[in-house]
Formats: sequence, C-alpha cells, structure tokens
Amino acid sequence: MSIDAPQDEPDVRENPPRYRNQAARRVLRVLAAVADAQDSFGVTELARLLSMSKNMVHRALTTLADDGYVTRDPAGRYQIGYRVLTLGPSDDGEFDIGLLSRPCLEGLHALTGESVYLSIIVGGARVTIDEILPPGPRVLRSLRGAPVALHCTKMSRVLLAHLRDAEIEAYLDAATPLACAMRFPDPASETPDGVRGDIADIRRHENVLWRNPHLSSAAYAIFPVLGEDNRPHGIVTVGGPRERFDIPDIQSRLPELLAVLAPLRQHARLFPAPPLVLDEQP
Amino acid sequence: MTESARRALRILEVVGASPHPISVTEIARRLSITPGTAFRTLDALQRNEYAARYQASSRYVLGGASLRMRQSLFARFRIREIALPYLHQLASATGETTSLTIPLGWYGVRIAAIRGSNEVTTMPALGLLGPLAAHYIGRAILAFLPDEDLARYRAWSEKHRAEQASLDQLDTVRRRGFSHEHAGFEGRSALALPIRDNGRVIAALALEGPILDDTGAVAGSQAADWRDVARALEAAIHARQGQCRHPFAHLDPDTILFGEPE
Repeated sequence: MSIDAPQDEPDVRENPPRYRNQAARRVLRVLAAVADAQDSFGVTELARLLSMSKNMVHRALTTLADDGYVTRDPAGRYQIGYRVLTLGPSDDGEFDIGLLSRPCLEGLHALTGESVYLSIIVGGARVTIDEILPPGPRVLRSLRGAPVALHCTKMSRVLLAHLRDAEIEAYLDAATPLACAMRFPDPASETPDGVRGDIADIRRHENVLWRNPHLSSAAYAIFPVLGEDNRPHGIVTVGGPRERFDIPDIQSRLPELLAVLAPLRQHARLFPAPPLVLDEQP
Repeated sequence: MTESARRALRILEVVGASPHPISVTEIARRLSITPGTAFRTLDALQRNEYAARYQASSRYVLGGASLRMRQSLFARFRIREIALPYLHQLASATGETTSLTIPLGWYGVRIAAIRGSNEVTTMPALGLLGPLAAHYIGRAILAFLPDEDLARYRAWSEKHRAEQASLDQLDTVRRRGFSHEHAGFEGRSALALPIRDNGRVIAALALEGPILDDTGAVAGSQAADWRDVARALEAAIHARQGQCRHPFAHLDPDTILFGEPE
C-alpha cells in the first residue's frame, strides 16, 4: 500500500459506494451539463436533457448556485458560475498562433535559408508578429508589429481573400476611399473592384506564389493558415531574392514546404479563427 | 443532497488549488473529514471525470471535466476573442508577455495571455489574480472606477480584510495613465493600462515584463505605441458593442466572494 493511501481505501474499493454519493453525482452531472453548454438553461430543459426530475434538477441547481458554481443570467436562466475560478489557475493554454507557428517558421527557414514571416489580422490590418531573417542579402517586408491595411500588398490581400464575402465587403466599405502608404505602385489596392479581382485570383489557388512586378528582385510563397471555420488565423510567407528563390525554384520545392507546414495547418483547423473587428478607420 | 454535494465541491477546490498531486489523507486533513469520506467523495468525482488519479498513483489532480468547465467559463468572456490579436501585436512588438484582465466583482481575473518572444519571459496562468488592489493589473482598473465604486470597494475590502490601495497610489496611476510594479528584474517594472468602453473601465491590458524602469519612466515613443494598441483595442470593443457583455455584470459585486462560501 502506498504511504498516502488511507487505511480504509481497500475496503471502499471492494465495496464501491454506489448509493452513498448518488446525490453528489447528480449535482456533478447537472454542473457538467451547464458547463458544457454554449447557452444558459432553464430547469425544465435541463431535466429533460439529463432525464432527471425537475425537482432533483432544481435542488441541484440551488446547491450549485449557493456556492457560485452556477449563476442566473439576467433572464433568470442558469449559466456556469464564477466560482469555477477557484479550481486553481489555468495554464492549460489557449490557441496561440505565434507559439504554434514557431517550429514551422524555423523549419521553413532551415529548408530555404530565406526570410520567413507570420502575419495575422489585427483590426483592419495585417501585422507581422514573428519573423526569421537570414544574414546577408534578403527580402525585408513590413516592419514587425507595424500594421499594413488589408487591401494593400499581396500578403495582406491573401488574408483578406480568406475572410467571408460579407466581411470583405464590410472591410471595403469601411476602408474606402482606399489608401496605401506603400513606397511602390500596387494597382490592385487602388479600387474596390481591383481588390475584388485580386481576391478572386487568390482564391483560385491554395497557396500563392508571387513575384512583385515592381520589385522584380524578390519572390514569395504565401501560405494561408485556416481555422475550423475556413477563415484565416494568419499567413506564413517565405520570401527571397530571385537569384536563388524564384517561382520555378519555389514550385519545385513546394512539396517539401507543404510538408513542413502540414502540422501547423492541421492543428489550426481545430480552432475557429478570430473575428474580423473593424473600427471606423481600418 | 446538500452536504455530500458541497463536500464534493470543497474537495474539488482543494485538488484544484494544490500545487502538486494531492493524496486522500492530505485532502481529509485540510477539510477535517475522515479519509474514508474523502475517498468515497473522490470516487464520485473521478467517475464524473472531475478528478483523476495522477499517473495511476494514489494522488489526485483535476480531471478533464474540471478543465473543460474552466475553459467554458473563459469562453463566455467574448472580449477575449476581440483582444487576442491585439495581445499578439503587442507581444510581438515588445517581446514581452501580454495579457487581458477583467474585473469580476471586486476581483481581477486574467482571461487571456500571449507569451512574449524574449529569451527570458513569463507565461502567467489564466484565472483569479485577487482583489483589485492586490496587484498592479487590478489597480489599473481600480484607479479608473467612478468615485462611488471606489467607495464601495473600500467598504467591501474593509469588511472582508482584502487589500486596499491608498488614495496617493491611485492618484499616481490616474496621473500616469497606467499602473506598474517591479517585474523581478533589477530596476525594471511591468505595466498595465486601463481599457475603457463608453468612458467606463472594463479591463486592463498588461505588459507583464520589465518594460519600464521602477520609477515608472518610459521612453516617450514606446509609451505612445502601447497606448495606440490600447486605443485600437478599445475601438474594436466599441465596434462590437453588445457582443462583449460581461457574463456576470448583472450581479452585485459585493456578493461575489472567492473565500469559503458563507
């Protein structure tokens, strides 16, 4: 016997306490049902769901409410309560695209030796939140942490293209007249129809291989990372000087690149992507 | 029903609060019950997946149902999903861990956090921080509450012997626009900014790393950047009005207590 086991433990195991804790079990079942639900519950619904009498459910809810494990919402229905927080601090973590993408960025950089970026949507903008840059000649995209409007640049538009149509139109409405603070021409950014046309083009491909005609010395592969709702968590971009990383090179190495991306893409599919939140000035 | 159910909840709390897998004997001692009673109740908790044996030992940890329950509670704070991209942006720009804390009654609860990319960084746990005055993040909320709420906090903290903040301390936070606290690095402090909606403070955005010096002095341009992200987050919350409703806003804050239920 372990030194931690109480003297009566073996006896209890031999005679499972089937009846002595039935009341506690009923309360725990009610708590689990309230916690698992997206919405709040009335007593009748809960009784039907758990095949328990309304009286039993009511008594269980009263016990749980007395302790704050369930609370009543403004409509008087029951929802999970704040006292759940007393079950200790949580470090079970949440979906963190930055943390999860890091091994993928390192893998892509090791494979190509080129610049690798992770960008997400913040408000109405694309923001690069992680990057790995090689020494020597390299491409340098927008500054890490700096917002770039979602209609400007191919990278931004790949993010925009994977939003829902209604979200894209809401963005274009809020962003019009479209302005771009880029130092080079970007015709697709200039009008809503230009942006829509480029989005249609982007949507024809799973990944976007792109060479900026105005910066003819660089090429990029842009990989959307989508959530369970088929909307974007972010994009991973690999870019390099054309002398060593041009479109034909990228195409020939695409299976290797996609193999590195696969675990991240698979993991991201388990979680919904964040909502698009626009203020007046995207 | 009440006694055995309440005992189950108390045992769950003891297991959840324990920093290590906990034995039946230790649970029984803490709750002044017999080991047999503790074991029988743990059996009920285990059958419902609220508690689990740690690596087939005789010690217990929280089970899957408890973890799901906690995640379900966090998911009810819709402000989280609005804030996460902004926390990412700030964590990326500064390299420090960023977090969002909301008031719950007179307590602060950290409901979202994004790990910084600096070599030395922290990953604060989600959950209860304590009374608002007990922590620099809570004080970034407390300092910007209306006077009548401050008076209510003071009365509540006196009654429950919770931490209080001096008027000077809160005045300094108001004057600077943020609160700060030594961050474990020599001479360096972490900071927290209030997040407001319709003029009312609803949360605090924290940079939980050594971002300031201990006097609270900041490089001017950097301070502006943090505030820009905080303002952008406020605009995003405002744009989603109605969807960021605090699930416990309708409760009287004086009735929300995290000690032993009365």
